[in-house]
Amino acid sequence: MERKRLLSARGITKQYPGTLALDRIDLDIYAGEVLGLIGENGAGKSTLMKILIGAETASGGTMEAHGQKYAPRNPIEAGRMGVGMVFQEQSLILNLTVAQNIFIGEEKPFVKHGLVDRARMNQSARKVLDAMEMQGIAPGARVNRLDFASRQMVEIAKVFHAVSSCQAEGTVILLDEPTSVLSEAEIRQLFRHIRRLCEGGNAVLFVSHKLDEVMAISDRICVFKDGCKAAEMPNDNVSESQLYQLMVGRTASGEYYQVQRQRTPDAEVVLELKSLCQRGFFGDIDLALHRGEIIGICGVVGSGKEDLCAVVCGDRNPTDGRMVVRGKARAFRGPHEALRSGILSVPRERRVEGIISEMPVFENICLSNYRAVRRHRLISTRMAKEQARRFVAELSIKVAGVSQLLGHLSGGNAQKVVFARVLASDADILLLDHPTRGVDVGAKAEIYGIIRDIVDRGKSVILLADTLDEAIGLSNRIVVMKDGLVTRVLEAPSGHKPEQLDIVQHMM
Amino acid sequence: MDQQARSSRIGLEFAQEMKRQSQRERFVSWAPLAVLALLVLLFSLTAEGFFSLKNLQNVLNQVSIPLVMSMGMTFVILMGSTDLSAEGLGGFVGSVTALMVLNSKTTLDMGFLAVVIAMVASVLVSALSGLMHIKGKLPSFMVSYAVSNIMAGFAVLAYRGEPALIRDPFFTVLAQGDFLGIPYLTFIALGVFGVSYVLQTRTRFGSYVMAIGDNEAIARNIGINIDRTKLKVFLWLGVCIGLVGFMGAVRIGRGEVAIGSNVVFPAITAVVVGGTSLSGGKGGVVHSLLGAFIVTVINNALVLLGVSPYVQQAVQGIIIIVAVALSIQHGKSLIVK
Amino acid sequence: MPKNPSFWRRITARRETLTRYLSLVTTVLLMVVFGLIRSSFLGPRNIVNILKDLSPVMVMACGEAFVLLLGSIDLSIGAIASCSAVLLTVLLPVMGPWAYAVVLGYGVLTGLLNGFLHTRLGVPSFIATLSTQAIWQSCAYLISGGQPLTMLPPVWPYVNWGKIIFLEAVPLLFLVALAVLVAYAFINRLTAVGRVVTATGANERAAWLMGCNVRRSKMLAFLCSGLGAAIGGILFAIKLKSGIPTVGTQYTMLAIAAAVLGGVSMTGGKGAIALTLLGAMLITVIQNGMNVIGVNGLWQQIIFGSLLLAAIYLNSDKSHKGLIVK
Repeated sequence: MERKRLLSARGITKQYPGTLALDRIDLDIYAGEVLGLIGENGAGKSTLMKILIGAETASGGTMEAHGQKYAPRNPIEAGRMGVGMVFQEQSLILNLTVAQNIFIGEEKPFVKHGLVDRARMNQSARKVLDAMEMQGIAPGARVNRLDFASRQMVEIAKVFHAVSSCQAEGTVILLDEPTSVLSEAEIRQLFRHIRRLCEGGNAVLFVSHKLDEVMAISDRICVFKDGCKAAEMPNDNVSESQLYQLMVGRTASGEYYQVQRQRTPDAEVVLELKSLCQRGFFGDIDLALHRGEIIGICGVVGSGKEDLCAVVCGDRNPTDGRMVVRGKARAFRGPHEALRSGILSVPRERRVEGIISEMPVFENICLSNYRAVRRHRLISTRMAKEQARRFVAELSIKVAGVSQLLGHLSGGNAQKVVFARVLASDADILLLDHPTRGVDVGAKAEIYGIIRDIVDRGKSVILLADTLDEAIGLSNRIVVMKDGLVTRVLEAPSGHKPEQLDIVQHMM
Repeated sequence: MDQQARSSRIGLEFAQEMKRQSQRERFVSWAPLAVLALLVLLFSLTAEGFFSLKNLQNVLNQVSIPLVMSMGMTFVILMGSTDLSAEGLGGFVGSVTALMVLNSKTTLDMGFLAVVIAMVASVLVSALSGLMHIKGKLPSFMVSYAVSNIMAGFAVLAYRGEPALIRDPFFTVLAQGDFLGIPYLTFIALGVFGVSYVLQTRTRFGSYVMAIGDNEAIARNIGINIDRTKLKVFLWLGVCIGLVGFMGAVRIGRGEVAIGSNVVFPAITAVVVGGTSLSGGKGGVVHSLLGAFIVTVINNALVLLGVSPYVQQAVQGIIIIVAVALSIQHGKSLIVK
Repeated sequence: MPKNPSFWRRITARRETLTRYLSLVTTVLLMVVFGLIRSSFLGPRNIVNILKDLSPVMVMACGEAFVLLLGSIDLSIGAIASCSAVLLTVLLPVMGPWAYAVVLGYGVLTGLLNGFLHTRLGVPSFIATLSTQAIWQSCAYLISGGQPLTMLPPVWPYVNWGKIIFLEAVPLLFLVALAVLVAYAFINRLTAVGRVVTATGANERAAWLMGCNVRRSKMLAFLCSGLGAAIGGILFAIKLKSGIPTVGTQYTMLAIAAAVLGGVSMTGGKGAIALTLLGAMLITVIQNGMNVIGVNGLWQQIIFGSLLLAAIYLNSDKSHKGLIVK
C-alpha cells in the first residue's frame, strides 16, 4: 500500500559549538501513523523536534512537507505548513477561557465591529473539542479551573486546530513528553485521542522517556543515540531489551575519564540522606556519600535528580526526611547555609546560574569565600587577584588578565573559573550538575582532570553527568532514578565498570 | 510491582499539589468580595452614619476617581508593568483643562473642546512614556516616575502660582449634579468600567494583554505583536489619566497640580487588593472594581470614625503591603526586584 | 544627525565611560557658564552654599545607590528624611543631643523594615517602599501637625555645629556627608556583604547558588538607604533650623537621579557608590545656579525629570537582547 508522506527530512545536521547534536538524520512521517521517538538524554530527540517546528535551524540538510520545500523560521510558519507541536511546558494562558486559548492569535473570523463574538467562538471551540472527543471540557471555562489532564487535552486541541485549519490534507503533531503530568486513566484517554487523530489521516510524532508508552502507542519506533538514528523499525515483535540495546551509546576509552586515577573512597561518611523527600518531585531517597567518593546520579529529565540536587545544595527545602552532614543533622534555609556545612553546587545553566558575567574573573573566584582574601576583616583586592592568578595558572585558564570580565570568556574557560571558585570555597561536598555542558572536547578532558584532583584532595562529589558514559567513567557508584525514586544502585570500581544497558533498563 | 505503585505515588502527589494550588487560587479570587462584605459589616456596626443612604451616595461619589484610575492601571499591571505617571500627568491635565474652559485666569472659553485637547495631550504623553519603556527597554515604573515629575513641573508652570478657578456652569453642574441620587461623575466612572470590561473580555486586545502578563515568551511564540499591544495599554492608560485629571478639576472647581497627588497610590492599592497580581496575567477589571470599593469604603469609614486624614495614607500603605504579601506565592525561588 | 551610522555605534559603545564623565564635565561647564553670567556664583559664599545644599542630597543619593545596585529601588527616602527632620526638631528640646541617636536609630529601623518587606515577604521593592513612604509621610504630618516646626533658641547649641566652616569654604556639614559617602563606598568595595550587593544586582540567581548570603546583603542595602535618608533629614533640619514635614519629598527623585547620573545602572550590578558625588554635584549646581541667575524655579522639576530620563537611558544595559523588562 502506498502511504502518503507528510513530512520528510534528509541529512539533518545540527552543530553546536563543541558538539555535534544531530548527525545526518533521515526521517519520514507518513499519514495515519504514530512514530515513536526514543533515546536517552542528549541523544538529539529534542534538537530534532526544535528543528522540525522551526524553533532552531539546522546546520545542514533539507526538509519537505506535503511534497514542498519546508524550512520554517518559527513555529508560526511551521503551523502554516501543517506541523504543530505540544511543548512539554504548557503554553496556555491560564486566565483565559478554553475557547480564547484555542483561537488566540486567530480571532479574526469572530471579530465584528472590533468586538469578539464570544458565543460564536465558543461554538467553534465546541466543534474543535467534539472532533477530538473532548465532550467533558466546556469551551467557556477558564483554563485555571481545569485539571492538569484537561489542560493537556486543550493544548493538543489547540495545536491540532491551528495546524489543521492551515493544512487540510493531514497534519503532523509533535508531542514532547505529553504524559509526564497525566495519570494512567488520562494517559489511556490521550492515547485514544492520538489514535483518532491518526485515523483521520494525520500523523503524530510521539517523544517520551517511557518505553512502555512508546511501545503501546507507536506504529513505528525510531531509536536515537548520540545524535544519530540508531534504528527504525515497525512496532511488532520488538522487545524492550532490544530497544535498550539500541539506545546504549558509544563508549569512550577509560583513559578519557582517567579511570586509572579513580580512588577507593574512605570509610568516613560525609553526607547521608535519610528517606529524603520532596512532595511531588522525589521520595524515599537513602544515600551515603563517603569521603573521596564520586556518586553519579542517572535518570531521565523529570526523574527527580535535578530536584534532589536542588534540595541537597539548599536551593529548595525538603518536605520530609533528613540530611546528615558529617554526623550532624542539617536543614538549610539557602545555599549560603549549605556552604557553611561545606556543600556547594556547580549549576547546570552556567550563564544564568554559575557566573556573574559583569564581574571580573578575580571577583568571581572569591565570591564563594571572601574569608580567603580578607586582611583585617576587609577584602584585599591584591590578595583576590593573587589568588585568581594562582588558579589561572593551576587550571590553565586562558584569560587576558584576572581583571577581564568573565562574560568575555569561552564556555570552557568560564567553567574552569567556576571550578576555581569552587576550589577557593573550601567546600568539600560538591554537587556537579552537568559540569561539562557546552564545553568543547579539549576543555572537557581538562575538567575531568580537575574533578579527579578534587577527589584526590579528599573532597566528595555528587555528579549529574551529561551522558551515561560520563557517569560511568567518572563515578565510584551509580544511583539510578526513575519517577522520583531510586531504582538501582550499582558499584562502578575501575576495571569493573557496569554496562550502560544495566543503567538504561532502570532509567526508562 | 511494588516499584510501580511507589513510582505512581510521586506522580499522584504532584497532581495533588497542583490541585491544591488551583483550589487556593480559586479561593483567593473570591477573597476580595468577602473582604468587602466583611468591611461593610464591620463599619456598619462601628462607624456611626456609615450604613445610610446618604453615605452610600458619598461612597459612590468618592469611588469615581479611584475607579477610573484603577481601570487604566489594571491593564498596565495585568501586563506586569507599573505606571506612576498619573501623579504629574493627572495634575497637568486638570490644570490645563481649568485654564482652557471659562475660568478666572484666562480669557479662553473653549468649553468641551478644552477637555478633548487635554485628553489628547494626556494620551500623547502616556504613549511617549510607554514608548520609552517598550522601545528603550527601560523599567516602566522608573520612566513613568520621571515623566510624572516632568509633567508636574509643566502643570505648575502652566498656571504659575495661582490655580485657575473653573467658572463654566456646565462643569459645575457636572461636578455637583446627580441622577437618581447617583452623582454624574460616578456614571462616568461606571461607563469607564463598562468599557474596560468589554476591552478585557470581548476584544483581542484583552486576551493579548492577559497573554503577555502570563508569559511574554509564549505570547511572542503565538505571534502576538507585543510592542503594539503594550503601546495600546499605555494609550488606554492615557485616556484614564486624562479623565481622572478632568474629573479631579471639576470636582474641586480649580486646576492645580495637587489633583494628581493622591490618585496613583489608591489605584495601585485597589488593583492589588482586588487580586490582580503584580507580576501580571492574573485578575482583571472586575477585581479592580471590588478593590476600588474596598479602598474607598475604608477611607470613607476612617473619616466617619474621626481618624486624622494624615493617617489614611498610612492605612493604605499597610493594606497594600498586606495584600501583596498575601498574594505572593511563597516557597518559589522567584526573583523580585 | 551624522549620516555615518558607526558614529552612533561608537558613541553607544562608549556610553558607560561617557556617563561617568558626563556628570563631571557638565558640572564644570555649568559652573563656568553660571560664573560668567554672575561672578558671585563662584565666590566663597556661594561655594559654601552649594556645598551645604549638596550635603543632604549626597547622603541620600549614596544610600539610594546601594539599593539601586541591587536592581531594586527605594522610594521612601524622601518621606524618611522629612520624618527624621521633624523628629529631630521635636526631640531636641526634650532629650538634647540624644535626639540624634534616636533619629539615626529611626533611620536604621525604617531601612530594616523596607528590607524585611522586600526580602522576607517578597513584596517588590517599589511597592514596598511606596507603601512605607506613605506611612512615614503620614507620621511626619502627624508629629508636626502638618505645620513646619522651628527650632527655638534653647536648642541652638545642639545644632550650631552646622555653621562651622573650615578654610572659609568647606562647611562641616559637607564633611559629615562626605564621611558617610566614603564609609558607604568602603562597605560596598571592601566588605563581603557589600560586594555581594553588587553581585546580587548583577545576577541574583547565581549569587544565591554560589552561597552568598543574598538576603543579608539586601537587608544591608536597605538599611544603608534608610540610614542615609535619616542623616539627610538631620542635615536638612540643621541647615534650616526647622523641621518641615515635606522637606524631603522632592529629594527622592533627586537622589535617584544623582545616583544614576553617577553611573549606577537601574538594573543593578553596575556602578560605584563614590561616584554619586558627581551626580549630586551636578544636580546641586543646576539647582543653585538657576536660583543665582534667577531662572524660574518652576522649571527645575522639568529639568531634573528630563535629566533623570536621560541618565537612565544612558546607563541602561542593552547587551541582553531578549531581556524582558517590566
